[in-house]
Amino acid sequence: MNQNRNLFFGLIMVGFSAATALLSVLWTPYDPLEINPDVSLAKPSWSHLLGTDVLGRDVLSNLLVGSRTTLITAFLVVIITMALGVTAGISTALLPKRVGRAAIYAIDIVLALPAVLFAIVLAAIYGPSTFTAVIAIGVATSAAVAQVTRREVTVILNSDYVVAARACNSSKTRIVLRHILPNIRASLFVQASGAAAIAILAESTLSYLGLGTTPPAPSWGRMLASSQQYLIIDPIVALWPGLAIIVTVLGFNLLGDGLRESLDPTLRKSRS
Amino acid sequence: MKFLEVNKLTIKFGDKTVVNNLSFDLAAGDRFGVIGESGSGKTMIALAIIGLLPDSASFSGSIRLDGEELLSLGDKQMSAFRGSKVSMVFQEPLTALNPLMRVGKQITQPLRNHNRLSARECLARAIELCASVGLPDPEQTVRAYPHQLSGGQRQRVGLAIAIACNPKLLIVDEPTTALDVTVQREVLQTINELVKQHSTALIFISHDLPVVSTMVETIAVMQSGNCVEQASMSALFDQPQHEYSKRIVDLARATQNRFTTFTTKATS
Repeated sequence: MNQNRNLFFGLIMVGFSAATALLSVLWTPYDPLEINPDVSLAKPSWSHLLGTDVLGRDVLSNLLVGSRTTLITAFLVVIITMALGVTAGISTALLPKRVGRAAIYAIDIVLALPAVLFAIVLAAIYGPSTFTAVIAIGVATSAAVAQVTRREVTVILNSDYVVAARACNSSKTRIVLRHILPNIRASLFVQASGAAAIAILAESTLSYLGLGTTPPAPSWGRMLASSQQYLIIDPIVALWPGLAIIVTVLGFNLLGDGLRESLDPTLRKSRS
Repeated sequence: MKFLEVNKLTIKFGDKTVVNNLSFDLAAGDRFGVIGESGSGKTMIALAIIGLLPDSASFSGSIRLDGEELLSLGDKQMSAFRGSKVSMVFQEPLTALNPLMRVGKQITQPLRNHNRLSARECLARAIELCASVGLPDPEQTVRAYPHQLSGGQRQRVGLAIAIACNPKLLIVDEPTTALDVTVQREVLQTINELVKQHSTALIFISHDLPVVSTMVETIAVMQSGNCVEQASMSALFDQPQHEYSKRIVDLARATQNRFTTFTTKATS
C-alpha cells in the first residue's frame, strides 16, 4: 500500500475525471448550453450546486460535459505522441550514425517549435477545433518523447546484455521487443502520463486563446477563459474548472509514477 | 586440421591499433589463455571471434573456425555460428543479464534462437542447465530475476546461457574478476568441469596470472595490443622470454610467497 500510494491516488483522481465524463453522457443537472439570464453569476446553491456563469449556464453541467473534451484530448494526444515519439526514438537510435544524427536534427527542429505556434498555423489553415489542437499538441510533445526514448535506447543498446543477446544470435526485432521495450517501459509510462498532463494543460491554454475547442462546446480551458472577465465580481466561477484541471493533471502524474514503481521488479517487495 | 586459426589479426579504432598482428590456433578441446593488463586488447579478440566488434572498428587478417573464414562473413551468415558454435561469458555478471527478464528465459534465449522449442521444453532445459552449472534449487532459480541472485549465481547463469547450445568454442572474458575469491574458485571449477565434459575448446581471457594458470595449457601474453609471448603454461613459468612476461610471473610468485610466509607465521 505504502509502496503504491502514487498509483492508488493517481487511479482515484483519473478515475474520478473519467467517471464524471461517463456520467455526463447519461445525465447532467441542466442542459449545459441552456442560457438563463435570470440567474447570471448565481452563487452555489441547491438548485445550482456550483453556481452559474455570466450567461446563467449551470457550471456543474458544463464541467461534467467539459471533462469529455479534456479526456478525449488527453487520450488522443497520448496515442499520437507515443506512437510518433517512440517510433522515432527507437529508429533513430538503431539507424547508422550519420542518418540517425540527421534525423535527430529534424527532431530538434520540431522540439524548438512551440506547440502554440504550431496550433496557430494549423488553426489558420483548417480553422480552430479540438482536432487541430490535438494534432498540434501531439506532434509538438512527441519530439521530447523521441529524444528521451532515443537516449534510453542508446544506453541499452550499449549494455552488456544486448551484446550478450547478440552473441547468442538474437535478431534485431527480438532485441527491440524483448530487451529494449521492457527496459524502457517504465520511462514510457511516465512519459505517457506526463504527455496526458501536458495535453490537458495545452488544450486548456489553446481553448483559452480561442485556438482549440470552439464555443459553445464546453471545455475547461474555455470556462476558465470566460470566467476571467468576471474574476473580481465572482471569483468562484474560475475556481471549478481550475480545480478540475489540477486534479486531473496531478492524477495523471501520480498514475505515471505509480506505474513506474509497480513495473520495476527491483522495487517490488516480494519475490514473485 | 586446426579447429580455430587466427592469422595476423589486426584491429584498429581509427589510427589506434588495439590488436596488432595476432596469430594463434587451437585444436578442438584445447584450452588457451590470453593475459594482459586492461586496455591491452584482450576483449577485442573475443569480440572479433564472435563477430561483434563495434562498427567503429576496422580489422584485417583472418579468423577461421572449422575451416570457415569468419571475418568476411556477413551478419546473417555469422549468426549461424553465434551461440551455437561459439559463445561467450561476459565479465560483469550483473550488466550482462537483462534486469527485467526471468533468468530461465534468458538461459534458453540462444536455444529458442537456433531451434524451435515449446515453452515446456524450454523450461525443462533451463532447469537442466541451471543444475549443470551448479545453481542451487534450479526450479526456483529459473523464475528469479537477476537482482535476486548473488554475484556468483549470476555468473553461473551467464555460463548456463553460454553453454545452452553446446558450443564447440567457449570464450570467457574475465569471468571471475567481479567475484570474491572463494566464489571465484567454485565458478572456475564449474567452467573446468563443463569444458572437460563436453570437450569444448576454451579461450580464457584474464589479467590474473594465478587464475589463468589453473585453467589453460597454452597462453598468449598481450601488452598494449601486441602479443609479446606465446608459450605453454609451464614454459612461461620456467623461462619467461619477454620482459613483461618475466614481470608478471615474478609478481605472481611474489604474491604466492608472501601468502605462504604469512600463513606459516600465522600457524606457527
